[in-house]
Amino acid sequence: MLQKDIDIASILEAIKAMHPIKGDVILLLFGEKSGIDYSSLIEALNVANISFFGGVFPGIIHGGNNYESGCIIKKLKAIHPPKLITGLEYEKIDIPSLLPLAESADIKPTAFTLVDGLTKNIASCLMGLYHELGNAVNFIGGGAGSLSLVQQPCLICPEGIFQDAVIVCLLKYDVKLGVKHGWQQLEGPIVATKTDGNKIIELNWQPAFEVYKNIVEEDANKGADDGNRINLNAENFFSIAKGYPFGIYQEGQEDIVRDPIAVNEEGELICVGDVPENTVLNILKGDAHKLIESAEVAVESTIDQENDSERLRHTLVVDCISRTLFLEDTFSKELEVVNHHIKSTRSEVTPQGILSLGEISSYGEGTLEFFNKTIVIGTLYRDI
Amino acid sequence: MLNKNRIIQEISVLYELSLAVGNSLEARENCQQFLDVLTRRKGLSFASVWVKNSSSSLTNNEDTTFRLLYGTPYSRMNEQVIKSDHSLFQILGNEDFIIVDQEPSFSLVIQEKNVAKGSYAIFRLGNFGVLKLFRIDSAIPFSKLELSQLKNVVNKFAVSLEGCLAFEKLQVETKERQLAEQKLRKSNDRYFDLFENIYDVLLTVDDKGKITQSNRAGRQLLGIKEGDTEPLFLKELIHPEDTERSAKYLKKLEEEGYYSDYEGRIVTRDGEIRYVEVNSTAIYENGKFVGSRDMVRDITSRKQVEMALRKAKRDAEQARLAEQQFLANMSHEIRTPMNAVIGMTHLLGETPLNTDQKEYLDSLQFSATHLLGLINNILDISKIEAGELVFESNVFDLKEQLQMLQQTFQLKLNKKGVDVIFEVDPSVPQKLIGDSLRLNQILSNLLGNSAKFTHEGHIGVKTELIEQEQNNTWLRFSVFDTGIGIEPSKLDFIFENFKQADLQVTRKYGGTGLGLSIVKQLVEIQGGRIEVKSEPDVGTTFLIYLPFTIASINEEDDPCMGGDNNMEHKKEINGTSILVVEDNDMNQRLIKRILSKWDCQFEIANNGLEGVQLAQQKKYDIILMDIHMPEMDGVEATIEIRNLNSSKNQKTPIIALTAAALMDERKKVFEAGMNDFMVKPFVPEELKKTILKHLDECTEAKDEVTLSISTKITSPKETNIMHDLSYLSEISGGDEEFMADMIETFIGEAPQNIEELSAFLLQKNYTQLAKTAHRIKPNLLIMGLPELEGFAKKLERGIKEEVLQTDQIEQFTNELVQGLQQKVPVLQKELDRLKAQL
Repeated sequence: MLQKDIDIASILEAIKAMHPIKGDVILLLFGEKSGIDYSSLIEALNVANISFFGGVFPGIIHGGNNYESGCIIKKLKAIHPPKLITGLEYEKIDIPSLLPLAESADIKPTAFTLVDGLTKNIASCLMGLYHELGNAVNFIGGGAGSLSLVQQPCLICPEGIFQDAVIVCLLKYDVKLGVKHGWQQLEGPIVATKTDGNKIIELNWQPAFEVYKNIVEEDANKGADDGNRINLNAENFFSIAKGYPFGIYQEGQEDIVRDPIAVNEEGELICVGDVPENTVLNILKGDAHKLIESAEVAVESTIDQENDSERLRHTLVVDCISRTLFLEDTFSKELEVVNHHIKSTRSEVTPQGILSLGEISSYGEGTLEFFNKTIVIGTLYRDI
Repeated sequence: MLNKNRIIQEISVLYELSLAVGNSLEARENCQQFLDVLTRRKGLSFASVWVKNSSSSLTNNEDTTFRLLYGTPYSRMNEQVIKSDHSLFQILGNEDFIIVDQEPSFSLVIQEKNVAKGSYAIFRLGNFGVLKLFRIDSAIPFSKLELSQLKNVVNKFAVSLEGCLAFEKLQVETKERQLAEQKLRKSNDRYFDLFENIYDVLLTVDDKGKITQSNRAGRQLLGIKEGDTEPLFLKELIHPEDTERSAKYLKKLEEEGYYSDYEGRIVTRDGEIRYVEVNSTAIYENGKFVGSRDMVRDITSRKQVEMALRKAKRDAEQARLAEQQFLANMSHEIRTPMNAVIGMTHLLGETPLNTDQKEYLDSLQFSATHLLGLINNILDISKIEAGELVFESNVFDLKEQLQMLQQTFQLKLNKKGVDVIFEVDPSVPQKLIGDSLRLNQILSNLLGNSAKFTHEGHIGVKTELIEQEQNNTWLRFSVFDTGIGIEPSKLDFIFENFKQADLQVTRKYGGTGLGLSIVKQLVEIQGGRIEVKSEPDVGTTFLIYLPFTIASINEEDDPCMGGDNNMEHKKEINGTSILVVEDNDMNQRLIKRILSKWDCQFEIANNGLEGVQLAQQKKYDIILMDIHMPEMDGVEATIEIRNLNSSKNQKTPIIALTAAALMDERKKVFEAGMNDFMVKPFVPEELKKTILKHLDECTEAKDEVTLSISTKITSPKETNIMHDLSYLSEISGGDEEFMADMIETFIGEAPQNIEELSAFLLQKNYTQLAKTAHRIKPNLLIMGLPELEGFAKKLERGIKEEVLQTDQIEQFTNELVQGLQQKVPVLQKELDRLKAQL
């Protein structure tokens, strides 16, 4: 359910009304402008002996709409209480033992994964989770945090509110995943000859910003008057670069999008998520129509025609906040496409989710990936 | 034909892959970087690298194992180890790579979890492993073209990985070596700590005798100062007087590899002389002597104490010897004239005398006898204190002895009107084995006191049987009187030397105060005890408890058991040829007279030397030998007579005639080879008996009984027998286990004893030789090897007294060593026999 005007009491009341029982977990997804005292809320939930987890995001999704404040409250069936993994600011991350739990279930569980979207070492943490769980589960999730890109505590669970952390909860649902972004190749291939985590230092053996700037400016200034020519610099970087993300080349699949969000004084491009050194990149360009079309492809792939629609319980949508920034007014169309497809399959189910700082999903059977500018949709199925 | 963009993409994959190779020397990290790129770029479900455990070739058919080096994701990996006969390798065969996507091969190569449909690509990694990739069905299947493109970069990866593995192996080996070195270093440190701080001196010396290493104690002892760089040689250290001896040890070290317990002196750099004990072990390199490790102990303090003790012991021994000599001399000097006095009195009594002369003679005889009694008392006390009192074991008739005693005292006290009452309980055995003379001495002494202090009433002895078990019996003699009695307060010390009840008594009744002390000690030495009950003016009773052995009928009848005063000797004394060796003129006359009276043939030698000469010329039946004589004493003369092959009297019984009644003297005469012992002054009749005893055939057996001391344990027969375990049997009370134990111990110690004896002889270390001889002497006696014990004794004494020549020492040692070597197997048989019975 969605609560727009919230306080602790109303949240507790709403949860109580759901009558959670043992084995249920309450998922709480907050818009970053909800104005809740999360510590007090956590305390109250602990006092009420409620198993819960969730996070604070740039926005939340309910049906065909998105909100900057309010809370999505969902009661889900879980295999175990949520697992908190902290210390992502350090390179060495201890991944708890999860495989026995995953293997104990009679279905292939869905690992709902929320991460501090502005922390370091997301890639190695996800790699650790992938090594631990492999294809024994299907992953879906996204990055929490503030659109201001200022890191702050954003993940909540009974242990408290955390940053530099990951929360994983194995849910008792089959999931069908849809992962798409719809961004098209503008230029490429370009080799990321020198990178450091989420920083691109060199492209094609030249300073990264220089290469990127030339390509972007060339495209952006096509047909523009001299007076209106765009000169890409640190100040206007975010607003222009949101239309020109990188795509990491994948054999036979859509590129994995890396969103450049800033250029530093050294001329290095800062991305959301790591860029492997020596990998082949494309510079992508967005088109509203293509993006919305990709959302439609994604949601379609989550609807299992062979499954009885009665088994469809929830649809979780993790849509990148930068898509809203890029699509602006047309963004609601993307959500509406998703909502329409789900509702037409099972009218009682409303797609719900988050506007995220990075999206998490299993990618085929391959590595667990951290995407940008992508829509990840997971439809959860469960026997009655 | 691939389009341009596609080719660029392909090349970029290979480019990225090739740059992912060899970025780390760590094999797993190398795999991880390569497989991460490969998995991502090629959209793989999982990938794994397997390597051989050993370095043998992959293509040969050796039965070896492969381990999973790296797999991504780990959770997909099911097995960690596979054998080389796994289908995977059979399917790969000799190919560089294969695609497996069809049954039946597909199922055979599955090793991972949750594998549905798809295709495997398997690459050979050099000769040491394989790379396994998987892509699910829904993705693009592997093609030969794709794998051909990858082949070169995979080969590069293989070379790099092989290098990593070699590096890791080297690292492990290096680490192991470092650990071993660390361990060694720690061990060395510990050793050095121990070496440096141990109390004993530890040195390392090279083959030139240069001290190359020394611990702290060593530097202190040798006077090596800090920063002292001048080399120090053993030859500088060894005391000049010890040079020759130490050289022998160093030679032994070089030849035998060690020496132990060298004791000698060193002169330190400070010029100080220290005594040290050294144990050395040789160091050899390739069989060549290169030096030694030495443990040196500073024994200066011990040596000083030892020297002081030795001096004190020597002084004490000298003092004791002087005392004994004095006593022996006293004994001799007084007894010799007393012998003449008593003997002459005896002879005088046989001449016609008038009444007055007879009376004077009686008085003279009484006084002489009394004086002899006093001397005997003093000597008895001395002997008791020196532990040299000898008790004899004779068969005697107790009742008869008591009767005689009663008569003697009754006769004395008739005039006083005091009755002498003797009561003997009927259960008291008549014939006993014990020292009748000492019993007589005890009872006479007590009765003498009673007689002295009793003026009316009676004195007497009551004899009762207290306890009897088989042949052993305890008797109680109660010597009672109705005399003046003793104050209760004085009862505590009446048995002390030179103490009488009070001075008035001494003045009134005389006496030395030795009587009761002697009585008490005579009783206690025999294992008995004495008590006294007394009431002033009523009387005194002394209770004496003494053990005896009951004589059996056989012993009673066997003349060889000796001691029987009435026994008949088979031989007559007349016509016996006797050599008398005696320097004292008066004694010569006395003996001459006696022997003439017995119709013996005799010759007199004036000293030992003459005696030996006469013994070489003529065979005698008996030799009577005085001990203290000028020129050559009786002991030496006897040794000469016994040892000279030319002597005609090697086996002739020799009876010592001596005024010295001390134990040492008696020992000496028997050790010298004499057969019996007569203490001067002797009663002619006793001399006759002794002579006749030795003329009889059973002399040896009789000796045994006569010589036995109060312990009642007979020593083994000193005859030339192989071995005689009767002594061991006797002292062990027939306990065969104990006997076996003793024999086993003896046999066990024998090799070392033999080695020591031989070694000390070789080294001419006679002091140690004497010590060893002394140590093993009692064991030889216990084992019934008197001959060998004799050699040991000769060695010990001879070396101590410095009377043995080198060849004699050699002879006795060799006799002893050979004897031991011969006897050990015999004793072993005895041991086996005993063990078999246990």
